[in-house]
Amino acid sequence: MYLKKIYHTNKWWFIVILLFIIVQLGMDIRQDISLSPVYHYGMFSNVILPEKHYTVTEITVNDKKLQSKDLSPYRWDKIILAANLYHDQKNWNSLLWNTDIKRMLHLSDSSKYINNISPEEFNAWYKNYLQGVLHTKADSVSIDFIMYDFNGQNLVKTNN
Amino acid sequence: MLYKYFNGMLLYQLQPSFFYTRQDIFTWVFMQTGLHQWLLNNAFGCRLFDALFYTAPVIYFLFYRYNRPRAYIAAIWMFIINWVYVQCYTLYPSNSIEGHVAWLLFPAVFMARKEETFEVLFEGLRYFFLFLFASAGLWKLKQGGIFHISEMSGILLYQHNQLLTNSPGYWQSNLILWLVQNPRISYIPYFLVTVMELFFITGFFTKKFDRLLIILFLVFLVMDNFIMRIPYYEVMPLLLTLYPGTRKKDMGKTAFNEKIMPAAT
Repeated sequence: MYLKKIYHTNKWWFIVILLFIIVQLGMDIRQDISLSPVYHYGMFSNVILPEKHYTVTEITVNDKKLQSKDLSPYRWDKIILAANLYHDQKNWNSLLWNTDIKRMLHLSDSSKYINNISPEEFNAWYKNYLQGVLHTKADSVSIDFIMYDFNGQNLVKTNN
Repeated sequence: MLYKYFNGMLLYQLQPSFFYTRQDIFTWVFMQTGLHQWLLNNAFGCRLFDALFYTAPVIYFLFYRYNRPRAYIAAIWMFIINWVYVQCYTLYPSNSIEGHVAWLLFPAVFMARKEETFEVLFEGLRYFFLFLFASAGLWKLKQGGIFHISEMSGILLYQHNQLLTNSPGYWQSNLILWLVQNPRISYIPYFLVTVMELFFITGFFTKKFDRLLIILFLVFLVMDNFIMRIPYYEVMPLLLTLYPGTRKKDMGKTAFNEKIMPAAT
């Protein structure tokens, strides 16, 4: 048996690996939190059914909407993640700080867990960032979160 | 490294200006160092980190080649650098930390000072790799994704709503939309992936299917990129643990020592 083998080979590594197994199984059962390098590998195992509405991120550069087909998955994710995560980071980082981090680590200073970037600073940074990804000058950039309805066949922009 | 460079995914190319905290206790403790903030808008710092990260394996190789008894020190250095780099890198809009698990775990194997220790650690990585996929299959049963015929349609809409709306008429958009509209057909690949993931359980009992597991994993990688547009290639180093050519009895002891093991004398 593997654990027996490692116990007889090196007792320190046996302890490390045994702890890893215990923490991995525990975290996997909990599924709410990680402890690097222990993560939950669900890979779309939870129920995800078609929804009625979707909020879709659209990036427009120089009055032209960016299209996923024009970029590799890595480059597209690079553009979209930055926009989506910036949109969510203020609330999410604060939520984690207030509900878990300060309680579990007994901290009072949140400065290392909250960003200090203003929307203007982000917009300037994002413009420069896009120029680097697209290799084109970005005179105007806009990020929009558009509502779409799924009608069973396709995604259609929601009529407001 | 080259693939990341040409896709603009090295740290200095990400040019991070903010971070997104994750639910990871180790990361929260790590963030107390402030390194993740030091790297923000810090071109020099990002280039330095990229250099340290990508030279660490080279440094290890040089120690292994010219100063084998001390190679484990270079492995410890690589382990620390990998952890610091990956913790920071994945706090920025880049990739998930789960996809970088090979970078976090593999250096530990090279920290072994004895051949026997290296062998069992390498074998341990193999079990971890098997667990990674087997658990995904088991969770599909436990969390119920496998029991819903519209599951894959839902996943495709969740994953590709941008592609479908900004690139209508594109061949990949048409394919994905067709799969969404035909849930019984789109369910088939989801079901097959679940079966494949569960098949990794056999690896806990026998090594005779390891070659097949390698093929299945490679098919999974390609299809994941093709259908889901998720490049999962950074997990690939773990494939070495299944490769029969890296096992001692397949190679003979001397060849094994020469090819894989940093001999400690």
